[in-house]
Amino acid sequence: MEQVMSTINLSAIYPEIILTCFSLLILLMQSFSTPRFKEYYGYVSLVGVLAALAFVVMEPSSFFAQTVVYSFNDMWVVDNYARFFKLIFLLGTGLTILISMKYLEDEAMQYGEYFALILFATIGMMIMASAGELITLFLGLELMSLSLYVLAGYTRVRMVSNEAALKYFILGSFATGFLLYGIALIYGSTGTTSIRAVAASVGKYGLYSPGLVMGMAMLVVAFGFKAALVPFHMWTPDVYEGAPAPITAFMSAGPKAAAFAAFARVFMEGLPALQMEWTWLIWIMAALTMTIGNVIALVQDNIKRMLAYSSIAHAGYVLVAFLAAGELGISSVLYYLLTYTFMNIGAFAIITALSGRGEPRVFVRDYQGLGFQHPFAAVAMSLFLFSLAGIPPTGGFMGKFYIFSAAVKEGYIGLAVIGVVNSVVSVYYYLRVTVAMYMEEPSSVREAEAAAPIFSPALVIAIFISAYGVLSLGLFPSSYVAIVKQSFLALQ
Amino acid sequence: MSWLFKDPVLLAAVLCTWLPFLSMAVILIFTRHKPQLSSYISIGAVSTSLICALYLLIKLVHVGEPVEYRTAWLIADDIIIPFGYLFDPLSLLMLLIVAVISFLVQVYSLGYMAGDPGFSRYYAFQSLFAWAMMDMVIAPGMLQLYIFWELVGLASYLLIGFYYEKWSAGQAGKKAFVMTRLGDIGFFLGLILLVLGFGDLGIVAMNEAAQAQAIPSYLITASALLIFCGVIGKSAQFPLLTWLPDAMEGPTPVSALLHSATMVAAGVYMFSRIFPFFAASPTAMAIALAIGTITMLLSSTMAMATYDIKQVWAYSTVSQLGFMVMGLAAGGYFAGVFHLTTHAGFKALLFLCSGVFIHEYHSNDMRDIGKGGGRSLKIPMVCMTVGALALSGVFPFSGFFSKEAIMGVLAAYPNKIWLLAGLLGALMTAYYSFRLIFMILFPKKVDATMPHDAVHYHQEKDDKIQIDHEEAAAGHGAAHGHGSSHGHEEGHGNVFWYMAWPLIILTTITLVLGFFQHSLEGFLLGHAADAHGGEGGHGAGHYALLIAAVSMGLAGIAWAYYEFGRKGASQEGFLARLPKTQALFANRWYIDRFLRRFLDRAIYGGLTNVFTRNDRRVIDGGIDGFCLFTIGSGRLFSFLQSGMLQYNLLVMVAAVGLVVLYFVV
Amino acid sequence: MQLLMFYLLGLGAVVAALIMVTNKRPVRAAMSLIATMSFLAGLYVLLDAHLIAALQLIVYAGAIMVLFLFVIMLLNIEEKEGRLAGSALLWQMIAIAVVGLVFVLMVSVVKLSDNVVPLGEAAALFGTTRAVGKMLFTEYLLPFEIASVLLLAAIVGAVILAKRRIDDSDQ
Repeated sequence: MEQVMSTINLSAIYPEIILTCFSLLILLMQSFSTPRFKEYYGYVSLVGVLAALAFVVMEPSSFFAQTVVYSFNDMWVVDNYARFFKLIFLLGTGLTILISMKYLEDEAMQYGEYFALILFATIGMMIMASAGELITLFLGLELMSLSLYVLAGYTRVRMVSNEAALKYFILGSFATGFLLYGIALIYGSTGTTSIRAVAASVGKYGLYSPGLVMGMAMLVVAFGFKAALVPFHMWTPDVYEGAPAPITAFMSAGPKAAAFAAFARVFMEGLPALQMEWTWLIWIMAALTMTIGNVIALVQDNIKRMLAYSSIAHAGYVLVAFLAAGELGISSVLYYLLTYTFMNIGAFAIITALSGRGEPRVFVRDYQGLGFQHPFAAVAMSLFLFSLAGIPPTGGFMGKFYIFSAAVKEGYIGLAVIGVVNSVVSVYYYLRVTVAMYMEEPSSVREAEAAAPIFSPALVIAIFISAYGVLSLGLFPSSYVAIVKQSFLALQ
Repeated sequence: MSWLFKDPVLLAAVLCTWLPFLSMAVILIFTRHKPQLSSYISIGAVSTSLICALYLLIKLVHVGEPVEYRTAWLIADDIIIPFGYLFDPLSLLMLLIVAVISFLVQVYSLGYMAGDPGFSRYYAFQSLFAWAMMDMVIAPGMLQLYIFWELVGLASYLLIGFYYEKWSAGQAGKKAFVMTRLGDIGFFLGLILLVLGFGDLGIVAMNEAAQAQAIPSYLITASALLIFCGVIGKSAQFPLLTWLPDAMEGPTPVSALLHSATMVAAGVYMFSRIFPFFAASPTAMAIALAIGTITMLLSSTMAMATYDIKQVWAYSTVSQLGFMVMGLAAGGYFAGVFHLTTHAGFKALLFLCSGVFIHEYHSNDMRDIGKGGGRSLKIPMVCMTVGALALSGVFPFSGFFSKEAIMGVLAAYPNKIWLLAGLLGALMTAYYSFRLIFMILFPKKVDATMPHDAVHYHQEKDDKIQIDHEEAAAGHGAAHGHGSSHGHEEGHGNVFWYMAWPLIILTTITLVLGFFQHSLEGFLLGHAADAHGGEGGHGAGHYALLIAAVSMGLAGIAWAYYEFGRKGASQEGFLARLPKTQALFANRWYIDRFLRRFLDRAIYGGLTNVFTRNDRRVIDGGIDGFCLFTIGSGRLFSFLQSGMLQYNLLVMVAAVGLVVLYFVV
Repeated sequence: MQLLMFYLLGLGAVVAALIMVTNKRPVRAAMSLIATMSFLAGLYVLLDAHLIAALQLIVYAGAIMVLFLFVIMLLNIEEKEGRLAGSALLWQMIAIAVVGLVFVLMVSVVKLSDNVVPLGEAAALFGTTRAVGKMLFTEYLLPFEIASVLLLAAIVGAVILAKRRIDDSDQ
């Protein structure tokens, strides 16, 4: 692997610069152009996302060249690991923008700031993936979180939305506090905030500095909060339920992946020497996260809330792979997060379409008979739910397959067993929706009052992209695996 | 995607095998309500496949070594499951057969299925079949072969049960599916055994290892026998042969394509695919030979007793498949494959011809067709006679050459009893095919003026489908007059010619194919000719055999003529004088009844009972309990999960404490 | 001397913070928060972080607290009287116990550790405006820029959440 060293290499942050420019552009358009252009803000931001995507792949050198570029005094790392995560974020952002456009119009929400904030959040996530230094990492996390707090409360007229934003904000601030405290402790015991320097220092001065260990504990808490791991998951259901549906889709994919990206970078690259220390902690957290997420999801009637708990459970699966930190482990993390982005955003796209103005129709009973009224939506929803449940031939199945085989290979058989039992449990609540769609008659009253779902072209495109992703990840896994493996190599 | 365009062979292969899939998807998703468009899409896809298959054949005809493309479809550490293409003479030939017959049948169906309410669905399933069959044919590994083998079975199930509103059609579909599955269980077990014992399911690797005796012989015998179960199921060999006649419930073009020419031949194809592997186990070969022979004889007798035109060809298919298995199992690789090729041609021809009669007279009964004036449909009549001649092995039709090849192999076999069985089979084959021909050609009471009643009498017992057909006919505005026994061909316009052209093409193929025996032999055996040297060598020393075989065929025809053809013949056949035997034949030797008894007693009475109890008590009870438990605990947890902010914070801080405690201790 | 100052300032900060959370009058609570911030600024001075200390006073004790007071006065928040309900009291006790335990745990861990990493001598200009400024614009240029984007996002967010009507801008 070739290493290119330079103090400031602007090409390393081209994608972030582009996204910033586009979000500023949207804010300016919002302020200075006539309201009739407002439909185009979404497309403008989409162009920004695509441009950033191109630069992520091409700059500073091609993805397949396997180079690692350090820039800004080692604060910024562009390796394939970071790039793969950026691809996931941008994918999630693009899909979210597609499913948001019509939603914003129907809910009479403001356009400009919405897309600007989504882009800001994306920039934050990308910074988290590329940060080679803890302060930068912290700023990226804050940028992401702040934008998300606001987005969660974007529908101000709805109480639940306000509540979600406030809760998310207060609890998130605590997590931020823990993160800062952790960084401070690590700085205090190693004298540096650069992740590589921390690794060097830990290697040099031995392992058992309690300050360092404590800092690590704080980092676990902070990342655990952002990735919604049990027991730091309490905010998830309320926030997911209260936030506008497209934002819930967004939050469940990108930020979660970003938390894992930073988590893995700090712990694999900065603190690998301490792996023995945190193995059991992660073990317990993974087991708890999977189990509690799935078990509570069983009794949810609100489909957004159900998917919130399911997303907790999925974070647990990812954590299993994270623990099996071999080559297979990290590649399966990447693989799973990519799959998860497709399937979860796909499912939320359909929820968005069906929820109706003000989102009254988000309960499982609202899906009764959908298979007959809207076969397209029902088929797509079933596909995504099957994938979430891990039924072949979908990407979700392959992802779980890789994760559990990684876990077994690294000797975490107990955890793999818990994971498999959990995915069996999860089939119950995913299929409940499918059963409602295909095997239950809609009650006539509901049918009469039900608003027609809103399938805008952009939303349909998003559903198609997601479905394509889910299926191709399930049917042709090997090409993705090859890319994922290349991305993993960077994190050595 | 650029890798795709670098290699035209690969591009052609991908196009060839995946276009039908694409067309199925497009039809099912988009054009379900535009039948005409659906059929064009499907035919377009399959004709492109045909062109690609031809291109591949021409391009690779002189390549000595098999060409293999494979990509790892699934990589899970040390398990790598490949997916790809294997081109060798056998797969190229079979690919072409499948493409040609699929194409012809789809064109033919434009006429036959016109106006059917499920027209789009029909073409979607046809595409599904073409896709699955082609991908099965070019599979480089047994697992891919197995996957598409099952998909082909699915397509067969869907097409047999195409008229799902008809109860018997649904039943027949189910029967076909279940019976073939029975064999597939053995197949799958064989594969598992092979993976465990040998570790590689690549076809080339298996064959080479078997030839080099790198696999222990007991393993070869065991897995070969298990895999042969798959052949038994798919190619309707004894004792799982009864599903095929029932499968005739599907539309006739489907019977032509799936249940005579290609799909049922998949078993034989698989046999020849891993022929060296089978050949390494004399025991397995002997058992296969026995089963092939029994199948051939039994089904020939069944064919003599039925009056249903499609049933005759169905039994004949079964017997010819048995004949192929005999040829292969006796060591005649080329002979078996050659017969498969020629049989695909003339049997598709026979079915398609019968389809015209059925379409025209709305009856499957050959007596009705004869009375209705079947002989007036000149093109189908001539074509069908050609097909029957080929089936009986009369010179110069293609069947003659391939049958001779198999006879030659059987003659070379030390035990002559197989040869005798083969000759007996040839006699019966000629008898039953010409029994049918003569019954249509020379109906008992030739009364061309009043076919009306006969036709309509039989219509009463028929149902919806045929009404649909009538509507279709009316819709096409063609002078479809059931009553007029003359001038059919002129008045039918497109619909008729859609059906006629495939017949003519297939007849031509049947006429000329036999003369390509030697070039085909060179192509198939190629460099391996010395390995199988002397095969099919019924040359100089075997004139006696030649004469014997042909005279058997001619004797059969003469016998049929005596009983059915000549003026004043009783048209009852010798079986009518032997009621017991006739009942035995007509009831398929009671195989069905036996299987049913066996299933009732052994499976339903014994095993199922135990399993049902186990299901109810242990599994259901267990799962119910588990569900109650999890849902209960879910309630508990979600109670704990209150939305109160302070409480959330408290839990979080407590968790932080626990985490710190963990690290410290 | 330094140690004495540390204890004095630390005690002051803790006491002021306690007064803040226990006092029921908002204005008084806000004023004690100012006191807490000032004590913290003193602590920063002890650590040679002069710029941070100044910023602490200007931003927290100055700007933010003024904002607080404005809000309190504009909203005219009444003094809340009333006793805490029994169960809430219980929760409070539990909360105090848990948080206290965690705190003690953390402190003891850090206290018990002997810092194995030798820290270099602070540079002569450490903590001055000049040194911090130089660091910000050279070594920490990237985080600095990111912070500017972060602030922009925060402003946009605040505007969104605080704006009076949803579709003002569109009309």
